[in-house]
Amino acid sequence: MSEVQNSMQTLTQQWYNAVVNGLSLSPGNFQLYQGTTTTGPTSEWIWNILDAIPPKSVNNFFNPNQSNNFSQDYQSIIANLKPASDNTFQTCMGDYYAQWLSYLKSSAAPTDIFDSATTMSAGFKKWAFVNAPSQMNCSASLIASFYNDVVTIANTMFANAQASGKGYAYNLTIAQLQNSLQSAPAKSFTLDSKTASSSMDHTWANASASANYGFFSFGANSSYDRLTTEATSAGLSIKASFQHVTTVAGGPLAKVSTDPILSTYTPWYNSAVFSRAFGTKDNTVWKNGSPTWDTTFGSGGNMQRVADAVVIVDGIDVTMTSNTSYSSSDQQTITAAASGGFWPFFSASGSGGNSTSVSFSDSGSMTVKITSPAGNPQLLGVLVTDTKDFIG
Amino acid sequence: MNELTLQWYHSLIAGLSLDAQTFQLYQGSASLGSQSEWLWNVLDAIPPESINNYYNPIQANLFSQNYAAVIGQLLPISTNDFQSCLGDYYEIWNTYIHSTTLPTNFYTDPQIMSQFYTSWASINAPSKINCAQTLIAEFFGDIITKANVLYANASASKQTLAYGITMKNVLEKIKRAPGATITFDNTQTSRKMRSAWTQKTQVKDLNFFGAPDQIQKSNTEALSSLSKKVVSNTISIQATYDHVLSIEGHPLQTKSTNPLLSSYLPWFSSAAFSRAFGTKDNTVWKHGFPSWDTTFGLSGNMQRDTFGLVIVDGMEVQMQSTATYSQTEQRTATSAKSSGVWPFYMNENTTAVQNDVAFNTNGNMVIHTSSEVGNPQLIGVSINTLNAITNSKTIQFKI
Repeated sequence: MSEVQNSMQTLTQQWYNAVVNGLSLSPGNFQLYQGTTTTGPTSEWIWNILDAIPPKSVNNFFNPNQSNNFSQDYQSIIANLKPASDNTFQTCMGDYYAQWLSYLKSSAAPTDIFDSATTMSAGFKKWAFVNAPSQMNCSASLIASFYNDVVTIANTMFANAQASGKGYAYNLTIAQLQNSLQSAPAKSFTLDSKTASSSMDHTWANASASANYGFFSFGANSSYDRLTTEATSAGLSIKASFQHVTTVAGGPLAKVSTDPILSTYTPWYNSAVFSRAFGTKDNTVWKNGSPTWDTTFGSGGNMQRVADAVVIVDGIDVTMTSNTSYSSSDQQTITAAASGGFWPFFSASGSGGNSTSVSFSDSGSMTVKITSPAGNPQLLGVLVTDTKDFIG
Repeated sequence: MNELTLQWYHSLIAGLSLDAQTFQLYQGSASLGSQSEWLWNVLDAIPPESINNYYNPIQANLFSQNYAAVIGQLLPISTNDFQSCLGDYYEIWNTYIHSTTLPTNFYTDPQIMSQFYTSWASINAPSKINCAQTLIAEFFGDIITKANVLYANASASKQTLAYGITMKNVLEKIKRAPGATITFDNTQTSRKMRSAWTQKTQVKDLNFFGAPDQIQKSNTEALSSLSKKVVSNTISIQATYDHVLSIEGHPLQTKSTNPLLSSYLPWFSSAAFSRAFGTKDNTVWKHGFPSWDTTFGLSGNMQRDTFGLVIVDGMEVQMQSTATYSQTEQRTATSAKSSGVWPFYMNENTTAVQNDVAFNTNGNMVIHTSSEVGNPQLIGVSINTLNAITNSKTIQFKI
């Protein structure tokens, strides 16, 4: 690891600890988001966050186009599950099965027999009463396999949601989030990179933060390496305050809702089928081929954990002071970089009401101010849950 | 904090006359939503095995969906009781119904079917008149078919699967619900945890001031050390609720006359579900999954269900800590108060909740938390442990 990455990693870990402490979060499940992630105006924005499967890391540079999505993985799973129903109806009917089939094909069968569970059950029972009285209760298997096969239900739900062309909703809307933000408390904290702990031993991921970006701009650029190293090694003090901090839970839309927004979306998630897939590894439940249990939930699988809540802040005020002394040419380079955004937010100046300003004292020490007025909520992170706990 | 939460759990049980075999404490601010659907979602979520639950469940494990998988996996009930009951007469009866015109509504009205049969039997099989009962039971009382039809119809209705209480019920009932006062002292409260339905607490350690517990190693963590100080000294609490309501809410089983609920189709059959719960083997369950074990067993997805809500309205809490707090600690405590204080963690907002932290001349801390009537809060749920089969005598089935 390069010196720059080293120092950014330490700083990011200190920031993680400071955020967790200062905002009353838990190192047991918090994942820090970094990048340009102003809250979008629509609920779909939150759903994209919740739909992204978080990597096993205390921080994540969020990419809305990321390829590992819960909804897509879920779709592949349910398509690769065997139907839940067996041939119990046929078994139950025994010798009468053929007779029932020929009746069903004949003109004597009621025309409404496929209209609903009620008409199918009634149609069958009437026939059986006269023609196969001992098999009358086979109607239970008939209806179960025709209507209540969870694998079929789950695939139909998903197909309907897909056909609606509106995307895969979660049960948390931007309106609910804004509601929660309004009454959410203010929090603040300070961080001194000379003294703050950068230990990650106590965190859920029990691993170092990834640090792919430098201090001065979102896109890593080698020309900033020296400046980054200088800024971090000389010591940074950070004062961060947030007018509102809230944590809001959200899960995949499983049921039709009367919420004005959610009611326009088609539910697509079924917990019965998801726990069916999670609960059994072998080919009694899974079809041959992929995905398999191992490629999904195993140690290299794509659904080992789930994001089940977002942590949102609003009204941000962050002041960072670097004690090092910058030459005037360095000052020019840094000022030019400012429009591209600064660690840890990397929000481009001016977008969504954010502003970033850089100033230098006579001695050349740097002060960076990042502000975002209330009304421009930002994603600070997500809470990560093991798939096992998600469905158990 | 866990110890303290356990103690508080038992104080609530005692003070609010709750049942330690069913109660699960909710922590965090859970103001009631505005719609009945909010209540149904809480009731439909399968709760974790813990005496407390920090957040509102995200509802990723749903009773109503897992139930569908169960009833789809049950074998038809094949009794052939009617045939056995008729014995030699069975063939004669069969020949008769093939040769005659059956009355209108024969298949939909048990009365008509029964009359038709008894009038045949009184002439042709007088000793078998009482087989009418098994005939009706077999034809109309087939619970597995009924359960599957009910669920299929409710699913086809494109409405959510409802539970039997509405927000209107709750708001009306809570106004008339009696109040209660709880006194708590962490040095005197007995630790009768053995009597609770589980020994587990939620994995997240909680901080005294509004927070999951923080980094233990960090010596800069003022809040964390303050929390430790608070909980390792004497805390006494007097909490008064104006109204405490325990209300049960069950999956909708029958068509309701309630103006709101009448527009929802019933979807649940306790008869079919208790048949599934009551027998593990393949006389009731089909081969394959879900099985009894993957449903109600130790790693099953329906080990518990929520059958009730405990809601309070109007709250006045006085909490005292006898420790002596330094000026710095006093400032830390005061600045943290807005995010709520154990055991309520109710975020302070201008309308509903007020948290105040004060210190007397000795440096003892007095915390005052209040919430006006008209802001009902969910403080817990009632849970049924479906896998509690350790002692077969105590199986209690309550949905």
